[in-house]
Amino acid sequence: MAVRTAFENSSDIGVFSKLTNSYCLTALGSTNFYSSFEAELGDVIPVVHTSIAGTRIIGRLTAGNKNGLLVPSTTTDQELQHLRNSLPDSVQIQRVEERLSALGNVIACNDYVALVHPDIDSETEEIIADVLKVEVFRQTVAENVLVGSYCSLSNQGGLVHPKTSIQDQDELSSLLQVPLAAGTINRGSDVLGAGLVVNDWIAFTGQDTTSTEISVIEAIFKLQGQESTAVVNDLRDTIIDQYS
Amino acid sequence: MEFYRQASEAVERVLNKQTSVKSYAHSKRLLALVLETLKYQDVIKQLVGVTGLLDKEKKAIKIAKPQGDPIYLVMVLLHDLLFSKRQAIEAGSGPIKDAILRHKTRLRGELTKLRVKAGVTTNSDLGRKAESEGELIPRYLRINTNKIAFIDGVTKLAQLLGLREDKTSNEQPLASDAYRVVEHIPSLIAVHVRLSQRITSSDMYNSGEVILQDLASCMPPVVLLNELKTYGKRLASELDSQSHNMGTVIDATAAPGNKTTLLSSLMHNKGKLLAYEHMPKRFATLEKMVSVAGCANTQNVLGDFTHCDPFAHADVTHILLDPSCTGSGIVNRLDYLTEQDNDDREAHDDRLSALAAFQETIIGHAMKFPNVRRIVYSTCSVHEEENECVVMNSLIQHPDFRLASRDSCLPEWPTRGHSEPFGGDVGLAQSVIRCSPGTDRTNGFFVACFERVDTAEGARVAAAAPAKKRKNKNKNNKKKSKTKSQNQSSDV
Repeated sequence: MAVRTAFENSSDIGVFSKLTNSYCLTALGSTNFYSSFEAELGDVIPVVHTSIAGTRIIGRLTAGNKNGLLVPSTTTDQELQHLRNSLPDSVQIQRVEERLSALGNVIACNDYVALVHPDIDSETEEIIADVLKVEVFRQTVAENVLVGSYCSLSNQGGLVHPKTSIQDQDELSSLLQVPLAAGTINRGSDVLGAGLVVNDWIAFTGQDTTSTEISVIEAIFKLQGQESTAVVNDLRDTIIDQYS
Repeated sequence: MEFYRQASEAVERVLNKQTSVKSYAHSKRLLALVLETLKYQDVIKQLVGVTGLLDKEKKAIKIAKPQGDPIYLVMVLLHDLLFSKRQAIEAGSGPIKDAILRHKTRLRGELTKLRVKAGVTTNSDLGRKAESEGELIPRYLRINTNKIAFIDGVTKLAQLLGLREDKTSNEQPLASDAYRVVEHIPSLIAVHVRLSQRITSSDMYNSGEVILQDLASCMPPVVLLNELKTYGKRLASELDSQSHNMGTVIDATAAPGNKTTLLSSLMHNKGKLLAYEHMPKRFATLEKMVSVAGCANTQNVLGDFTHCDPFAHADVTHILLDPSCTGSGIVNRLDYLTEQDNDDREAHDDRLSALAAFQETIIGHAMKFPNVRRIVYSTCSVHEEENECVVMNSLIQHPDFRLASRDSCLPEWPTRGHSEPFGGDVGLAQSVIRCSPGTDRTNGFFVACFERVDTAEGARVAAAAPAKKRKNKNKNNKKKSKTKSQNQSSDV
């Protein structure tokens, strides 16, 4: 399932939220925004209101998956404490001293693999591997070094910058071991990380996203609910039974 | 860490061709690490290059390896981190281990990328592979007829290893459960390489009933004793009388004794065979080999053949010469691990001409024996400088000898000598034998047979076009002693 939402009239919801398989972070401010996440996820995983370093652009400053959360060194002690109290104990939280402090822009990851900016510090690389428990690859996506901005990954699939060559897609797909598609979000925007947050069972996209874009997302991230297709098949079977 | 240091030195020495991988066979763990590191050397070097490990960790590496090139130490450590079963460096923490572990995520990532690029799924697919050539060359086994009759030996061996006879021609690859009788050489059979270990651990091998000997290395004795060619077809008594008619046979460079024992069994273990070897250590090997193989007619002599007095051996009629050579024809099944692009051309040329000088000396000495009728010269080299050129120079210097014709030198063997060093004389080129690993399924080899001419016929040969001139012919004697200690014997 894919849900359209907006943060105070901005379609760049990936800037203001972080979604993983074991927690979701949303920025302080827009209540509607928080509610739309809470409505879909509230029963399953914690949805946490937070700021990072006093800002609302938490999606761009943090990187995480079900195993851990990496926050920049500018994160205050109170914020860190709040996150520690709100997230499940199985999630490891780690502050990272990295020159490229917008961790969400320089790291794209699912629960097994992380693509990172080619110039990231090797110490950070080790932390990523240890905390997020992933294999780390220095990569670019369609010649962009900000891999976190230009792709969006889950354990089911991934969406990459629309100008990614087929060859690069193949290479990335073999590294990630998931199918990839090149596509856009928010009516033709190529910054997928900003327009889309996704985990293994749900995606949130910006308000401007077209239905074509939604259908691509649902297909590549395998978000078509099993029940609905099951219903269709059952219905068809009964109809065929009736008329045969 | 001390273990890794040892291994890194081993890798360095092997890659610089100062020693062979096999010299580390005494420690299984060391040998395994060295072999595996060599197998993955290209991948490891690529990883080191792409991660800039040597530059980034200069300090730590300097502490661990103050002198020399640290790459080898880094290579063995990376091998254990990335390719070993445990995927870990098995040493206490130290500056260099910590330095490498700081980069382990990067290294693993880059390794995965290399795998993806190469389109393979496992690390082992990234390693160097033995070229099929080594696999194609079968293992040759000689039934030692001094100990057991050929037919009995083959039957016993086939029973022991569960082999069936393969009657297809030599061109076909051999299955791992079959043996094939080799047509050119008496009592020689070929089996698949993978059977080697089972054979060397069998009783038949330990009791000297079978001897592992390459096809090529069987040729010189067979050519030398060509007059006993009907071996196996005639009555034993006839053969006996024939071997008695022959004078003494000399194997001038005998160790490790494979050719010697073949000579002995071709002579039906009768007559007299002198085996010379001047290095005490190799002489011990020779003695052991000769006694295991039950060669009663063989007398081992510890000494240099070129220093013996020819006129004290007036009874010698046949001499086998297999002097030191570059060994360039030997197909080493581990060669692919140490192959490098840059070859030191000049040192190679120097070595070649020094060897050629020694080879001519030893031929010249053999020709001084007053009653010698037949001299076989062989090398396991593929270089013309050591083969046809040496033969041609010897022919020119000794007009009283000529090359034995093809009829008496395995006439049915297809691969013959190059005619160019003989000044284009095809007849001479046809008289000598060559083996090439690609087509003949054996090591690269060369055999030439000289025979004495009593008439003025020899003069005709001497008049033929001269062979290639060597640069440092006058340095012959100076280099002689050095050459001998340096080079491996051609017994394979």
